[in-house]
Amino acid sequence: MTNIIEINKKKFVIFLISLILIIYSIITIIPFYFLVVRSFVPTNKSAVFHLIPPELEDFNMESTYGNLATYYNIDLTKAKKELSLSGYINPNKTWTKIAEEHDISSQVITDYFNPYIKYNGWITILTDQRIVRSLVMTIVITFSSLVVGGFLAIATGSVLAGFRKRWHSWIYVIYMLQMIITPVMIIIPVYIILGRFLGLANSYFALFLLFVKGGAIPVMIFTSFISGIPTTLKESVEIDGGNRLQYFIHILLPLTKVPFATFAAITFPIIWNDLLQGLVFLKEEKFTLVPMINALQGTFTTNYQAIYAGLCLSIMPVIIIYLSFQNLFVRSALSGALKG
Amino acid sequence: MKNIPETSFIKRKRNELAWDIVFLAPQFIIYFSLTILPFLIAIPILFTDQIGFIDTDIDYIGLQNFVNIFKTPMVDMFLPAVKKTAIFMVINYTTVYIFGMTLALLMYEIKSKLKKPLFTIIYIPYMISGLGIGLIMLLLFAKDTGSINLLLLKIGVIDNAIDIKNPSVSAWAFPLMVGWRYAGFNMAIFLGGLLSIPAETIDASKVDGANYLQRFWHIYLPQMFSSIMIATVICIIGSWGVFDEAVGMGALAANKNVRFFSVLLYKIGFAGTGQSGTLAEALTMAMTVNIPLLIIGILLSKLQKKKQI
Repeated sequence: MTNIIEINKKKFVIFLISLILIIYSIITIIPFYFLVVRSFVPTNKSAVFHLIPPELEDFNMESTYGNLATYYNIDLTKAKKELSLSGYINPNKTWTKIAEEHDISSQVITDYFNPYIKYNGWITILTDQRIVRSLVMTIVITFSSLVVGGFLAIATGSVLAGFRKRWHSWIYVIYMLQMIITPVMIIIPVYIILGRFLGLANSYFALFLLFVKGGAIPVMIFTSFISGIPTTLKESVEIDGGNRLQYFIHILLPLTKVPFATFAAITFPIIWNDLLQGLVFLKEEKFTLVPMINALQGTFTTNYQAIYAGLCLSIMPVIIIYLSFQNLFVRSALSGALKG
Repeated sequence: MKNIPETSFIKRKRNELAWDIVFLAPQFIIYFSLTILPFLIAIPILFTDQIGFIDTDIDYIGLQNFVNIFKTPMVDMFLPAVKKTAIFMVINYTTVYIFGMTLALLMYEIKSKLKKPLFTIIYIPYMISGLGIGLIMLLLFAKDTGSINLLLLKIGVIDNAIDIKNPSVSAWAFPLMVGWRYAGFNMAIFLGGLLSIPAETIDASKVDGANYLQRFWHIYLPQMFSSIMIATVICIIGSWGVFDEAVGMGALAANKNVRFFSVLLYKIGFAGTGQSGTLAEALTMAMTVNIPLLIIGILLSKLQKKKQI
């Protein structure tokens, strides 16, 4: 009898714990849900609570020409060209009048402006040349530095594994120091080195070097993995007359797929989300995605919708990759912690 | 005959060393010049009056910079920023336990299929940029437009909107938000420690009739010691380097509540306009704070390794 009560009590406790964790998870999701909703809420409606993206009324033909630009950040020069309007237009004229004067049906004008008004944030972001370019550059930099950085760290790990010499462990300790040196601490002297000494100010290559420099986590991952590879493999290559490079390319690289995935899972979000180094080393027109989102606050001061849409855009790739490889990420998170 | 194996041995050794260097050098040169060398080149600048990155007229001024940062006008920027960051660090450190350790202990108890999706969701904020976290915070709690604010007002939970730009609100809300971001990360660190406990140890304690508190105190906590040290080092060092989240909250614009030490360094070093202070003084401030921090970091890491063995 007491046994049954015990079991029920235990089940109840587990149920309670699961419930708490589920509630916490829901709380964690909510901000992202609101972020998506708010990327569809125009600034003039943002003082009211919206649980779902609001139904927006159609484009109002009675609104004036000038208001359009200020309310919706619409590029009027482009609109004029695409609606084949010519000549000067008084900003105080309503669109009904403009339609009459230029002999265009009001339907054409409404159809043209409706998407701009309903999906203002997303259209502003996706048609902005700078943002599209910064997205492409961020993808290029992230993946090239992951591949090169991984390759370099495997090379480092291949030497340090097993600590065959005393100085190998010194090198290892120097790499471990990176764990307690944050980018902010050294950003000024790093700028002196990269920007002044090497002339790499406003260059993507400066960022690339910072991302492939390695550090505690990559070196730890590869060193500990490679030290688990039997040394007989290396010796057999040497007996066959092969050198270290051949061993590295033909034996080691194919074997390090698993630790490389761990390395990529830990490093990818760090590189993608970097703000400080992008801000310091690049000028605004060359910004990577996250510094660009920060710069949007200056460009679209009151167009929160566009800022939130931009933020969604910068978050989405990470979330998609994270969710599609979630097993890998969870494993990496736990193993990284164990090794630390 | 005796000489042949010896020379080939020496040759092989030299060969080994050459290959070691070939493999180590590329990354080590980059790593050293971008992580260790910065400290070395910073030292001579500390004793000069270098104004900016391009300054041709540099004079040796001894320890004047160390005096300057404790004199007006520098001290009015330096000490408040340090104080703000120190307060942030303390609250942020408690969130390591409020979020990270609590979640890890709860997660450790459940063994169902729920475990993996829950872990996945709790870890999501760590994947997001700090800038995004700061912006999301404004999105949720800005005084007039914050979604959560508007929701709470609508339901009638609160009468007045929470004002995130209010200094005393910001002082609590900001570290909580940062704690929320790192919740999954810290949970993973603590869970890593818990999962390394052999199952027999826990079974044995259960058979002996130990209650949860006794188990926590005598089994979980000692096993998590190494994790606690890692989380402590990462949190302390990370708190002084907090930048992205503050920028998201508008630290580079008008929001004075989140002008942490790192923001001050960035402003003097790179933002230029409207900030007094020379490059040398900024570096002096950085080193005055960072060197003790590094020593604490090294000591804590040593402590962790000692206990592990």
